[in-house]
Amino acid sequence: MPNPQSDLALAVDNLSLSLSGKPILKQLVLELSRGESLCLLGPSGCGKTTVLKCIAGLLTPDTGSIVVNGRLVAGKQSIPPQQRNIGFIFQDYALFPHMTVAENIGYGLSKLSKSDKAYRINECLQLVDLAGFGDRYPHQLSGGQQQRVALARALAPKPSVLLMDEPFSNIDAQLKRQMMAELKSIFKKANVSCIFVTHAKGEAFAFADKIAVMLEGNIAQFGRPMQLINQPASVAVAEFMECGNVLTAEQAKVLFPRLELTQTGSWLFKPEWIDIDSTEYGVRVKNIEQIFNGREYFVDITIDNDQLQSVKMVSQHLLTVGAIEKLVFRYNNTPYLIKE
Amino acid sequence: MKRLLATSILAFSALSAQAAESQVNIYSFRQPFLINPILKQFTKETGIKTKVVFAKKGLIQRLKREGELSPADLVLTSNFSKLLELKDSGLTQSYRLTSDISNSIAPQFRDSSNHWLALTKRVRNVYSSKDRAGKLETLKYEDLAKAEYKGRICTRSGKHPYNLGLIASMIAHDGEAQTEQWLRGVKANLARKPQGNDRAQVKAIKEGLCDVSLGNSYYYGKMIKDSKQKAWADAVYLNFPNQKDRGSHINVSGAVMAKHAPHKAEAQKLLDFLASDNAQALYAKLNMEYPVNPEVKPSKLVQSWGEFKADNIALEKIAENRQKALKLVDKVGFDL
Amino acid sequence: MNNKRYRFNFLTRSPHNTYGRAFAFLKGLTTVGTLLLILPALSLIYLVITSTFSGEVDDSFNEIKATVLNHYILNSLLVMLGSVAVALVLAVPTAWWCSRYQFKGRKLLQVLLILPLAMPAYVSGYIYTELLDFAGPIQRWLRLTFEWQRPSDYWFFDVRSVSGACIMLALALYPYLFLLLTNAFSKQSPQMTAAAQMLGASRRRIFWTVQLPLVRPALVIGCSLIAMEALADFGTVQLFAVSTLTTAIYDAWLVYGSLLTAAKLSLMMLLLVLGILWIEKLSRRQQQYFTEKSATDVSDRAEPTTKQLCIIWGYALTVLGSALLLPVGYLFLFVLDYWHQNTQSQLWQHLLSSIGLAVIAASVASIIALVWNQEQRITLSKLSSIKLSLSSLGYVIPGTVLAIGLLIPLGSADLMLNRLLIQFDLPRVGLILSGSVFALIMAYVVRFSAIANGSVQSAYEQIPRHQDDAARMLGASRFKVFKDINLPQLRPAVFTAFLLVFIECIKELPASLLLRPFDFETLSTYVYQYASDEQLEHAALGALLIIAVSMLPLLLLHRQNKGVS
Repeated sequence: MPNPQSDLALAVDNLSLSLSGKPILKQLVLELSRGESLCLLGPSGCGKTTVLKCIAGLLTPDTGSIVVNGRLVAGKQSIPPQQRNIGFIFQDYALFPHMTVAENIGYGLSKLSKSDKAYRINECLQLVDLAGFGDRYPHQLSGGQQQRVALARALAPKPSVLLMDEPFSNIDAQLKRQMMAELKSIFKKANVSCIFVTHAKGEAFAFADKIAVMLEGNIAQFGRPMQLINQPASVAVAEFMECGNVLTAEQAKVLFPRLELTQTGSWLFKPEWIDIDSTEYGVRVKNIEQIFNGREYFVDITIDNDQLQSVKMVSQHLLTVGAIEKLVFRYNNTPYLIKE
Repeated sequence: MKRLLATSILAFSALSAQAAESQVNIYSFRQPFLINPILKQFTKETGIKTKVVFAKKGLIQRLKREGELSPADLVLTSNFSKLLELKDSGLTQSYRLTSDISNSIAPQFRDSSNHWLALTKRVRNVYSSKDRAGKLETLKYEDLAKAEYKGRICTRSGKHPYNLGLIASMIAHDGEAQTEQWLRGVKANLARKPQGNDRAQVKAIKEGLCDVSLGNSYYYGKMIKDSKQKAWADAVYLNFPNQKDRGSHINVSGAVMAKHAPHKAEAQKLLDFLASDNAQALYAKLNMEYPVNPEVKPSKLVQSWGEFKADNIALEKIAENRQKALKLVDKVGFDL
Repeated sequence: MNNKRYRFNFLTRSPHNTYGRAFAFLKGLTTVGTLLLILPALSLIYLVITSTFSGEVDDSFNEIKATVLNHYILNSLLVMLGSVAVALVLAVPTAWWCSRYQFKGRKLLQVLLILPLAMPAYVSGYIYTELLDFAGPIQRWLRLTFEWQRPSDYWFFDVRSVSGACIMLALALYPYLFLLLTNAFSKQSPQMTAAAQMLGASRRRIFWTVQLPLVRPALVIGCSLIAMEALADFGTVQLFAVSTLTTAIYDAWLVYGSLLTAAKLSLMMLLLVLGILWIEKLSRRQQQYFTEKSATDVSDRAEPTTKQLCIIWGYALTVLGSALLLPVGYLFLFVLDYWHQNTQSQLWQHLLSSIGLAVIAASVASIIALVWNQEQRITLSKLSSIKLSLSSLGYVIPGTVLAIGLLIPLGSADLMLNRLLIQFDLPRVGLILSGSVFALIMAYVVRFSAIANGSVQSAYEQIPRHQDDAARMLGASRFKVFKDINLPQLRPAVFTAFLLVFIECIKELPASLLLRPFDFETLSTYVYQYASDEQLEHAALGALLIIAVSMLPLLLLHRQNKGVS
């Protein structure tokens, strides 16, 4: 029985798993609210797909519990995947090539009567905007259409939670943005609670309500996208998220001689928090590299200093590299102390 | 690997070149172990080597195909219709009727134009179970279609030359229509689908699968001499059918000289040898067949089976009806 | 464009011949070679067509048609379908367990289950007849125990029947299916299973609706392979007195003496085989959508429970026991019982002949596979792909048919050759083509080229064309690309092709029976003659040699495959 009190679609507690003697997950904790999209973001090999497989029941954790919609599915008791009522979309979609689109979508609906099944298939086809494609075979569809079939198939049995493994990795950049928008509106319509896994920050920012950054078998930080970028929980997170310049107080002093940082530790100076002036005095510059992203320039400045080699910042216009010999750095925002 | 290749290449070249040395090439329908001892004796006496291709089927077609290039000198057959088929297909030539041959083989057993030569006789006997059928002194082949034998008969394929010969002789004696009816009757009486060889039928009698079977005479002797098969032979009587009228059907094994024989002289020597008392005695002793040479007595064992009356119908008469017999077998679905 | 180049255009049919002279030679070679490879089929068709137009009356054919032909066709179909059905029962579960479960001895079992491929079906047929016949030990024991007297007193399975032939053939042929299925099952994406699982399907439902349908291409290829082999079988059905089209062809020629009837029946049989191939082709077309990129990672294999383990080993050992262990054991007994007869003959010579022939034929077939495929890779033309398909045609021609189809043209060629030699006052060479091992080797190559082609072709397809292009851009000639880039990667496939053809040649019976030259026996013909005379006991050592000689390459093959993966 789903617990009406609980607002959680999914709760993972203290999850650990070793595969062939190697610890993959270490006492991992994760929660997902109803109707929310959560992104498991992490570098490849951090164990994020393993988490999905544990939730799905395709792998059995060594310790820990998983509660889906108020029902314990792993822990003291283990429920086989086919009874967990969880939807799963695989990286390559895993559509059954020998079945039509309609047969694929209807595969999880074997308990329904024939007419109910047909109705639900139709409903799902319409939901993913593929009405009229029911008789096609997967290989006759484009990549985006295939993904929507996979989505329809996963949603057809009305799962408590939808899991997606790298859902956008097979789609080219142009289509990706459009797909994400479509998916998001579908999720809203169907009130889907979903966890998806990716290693691409862009996808996470664009699609997720909340992001869990996963590093080495554990959740390093859990929060809203803005939070992760502005207030990383650790240097590792800051580095993985490419938040900006992470400096010790001493290093900061090189750039900002007048800045008094009271606490030791690592300080985050985001690129957009830094301005420069070309002057006769200041820090000697060795090299400047600039990359234009369509809106502004990412600038990577190599400086001549023993303690600090490089500084990242953004600029609205192209710097005339040859003319610059020395720079003065200023900050326009209070640096953030990364607590460890 | 290299050595294998070399061996094969050697074999290839050896086989493709026609050897010039003194030899006879034989196409044989008879099995090697039946004729090899006799050929060995021949080589010992004359120094002429023998080479044999053995096959149960297809040698005639092979001869036809090879035409003037055929390496075959002699063809040994295990039944008469093959001898005649060879002659009728124009695959033979006449041998020299040497005194060796004319003295030892009666005209009845050789072609009037000297194309074929019979070497041994064999009887198409009926074997009967000692326990369940007893000795069948008055049995006729015709009786096998009677209702009393329902489910009691075993035989090999109807298309086997031995059975075809018997059926052809039935056609010659009783006419085609009556023989067809007879064949249907026999088929209806079969204990199992025709299969195996003559020996296997005797084994089936021993095991109680059936009570009577068709089989050539010499198999009886061979089974008696085989320690494992003696029990089979001990379970049956050997019967000579139709003793009160025309006599038992006999067939002959024989030889022809191939039309394009490259070693004609050597082949003639082998024919002379095969007709000789010496070889005939070997045939009688080793294969337990009846020699065609009246001077040579059958083996002691064969003599112990008793005198019998043989059907003396001309062999050509039987051979004429062979195709008809074959069609009858298909028509009544004897083997199916 | 100079004149010399144009001269070869009739061969290439391309307006711009950019391939040069050596290549034109290659094309000429493959064209002539292909014609030689389809010579048997052509000569049969020619024979039937000319006789039809000349109005020759073919009594025997009409006779057979009116009486037993339907029965023959029915039996052929029954043997074919029955063998496939039994092979499925043997191969599907074993292949499934070996690819989806992880247990001790799995790899060993996987090798063992392939070995029955070395067993000629007629040899096990003979042994099971000995064993299960009315006069055999089992029925004798039953009669003694239950005091039955006559066959009508009880029912017992009749080995010498259509169903018996199906079982014997399936026992010898199922490894084809097993090999293909194990491969397909283990390459199947585990995500498919997971996806079905997530949609709430039970294990059983997943197997029948997803896992089995997904290996359909392998299933169809394996089944059609077995169907073709069963259809072409001669030894077993002859031994069991089951009249099929193969025995009918044999009889038509050798008993009725009508080559024309044999040719007509052969063409009917070819039509049947083409039907099978058509089905196979249809399924191959879909295969591209079925192939999965991922290979099973070991952790995906399930650990069987003790009960499952018992079932797995019980079933697999039953299959193995009946397909291999029991017949081989029986053969050993025969050898011991009839030691004298078994060691008397020129067995070693037959063995050497068999191996020699098989080595030559397998080498030729492998070279043909390489050359034909290389041409197809370079030109990508319709013509060369047609040549490639045609060169594989022989595989569908049953040995009996093939022998007849070969003897006709080779005999004529011999005749012409000798007449020509006499014209020039040279000595005759006799039947240098049709009466020597040449005919045998040619028959083997024609019959088994398809196996080599298949193996090499699939290896070629796995080498991206970009590799060739890259090498060409770096200045390599076409030959150099072949020698330095393609060939090293093809080596395992060529080796596989060689071994597979070798095994088939060792076991080949019907064509060898009809084509072997003077004083020449292969192991197969030697053993079969004794078997057909119901005296296999005397040639049991020969049968064991056949099995041993074909088993060795199977083991080599397995070792190689392991090395590759």
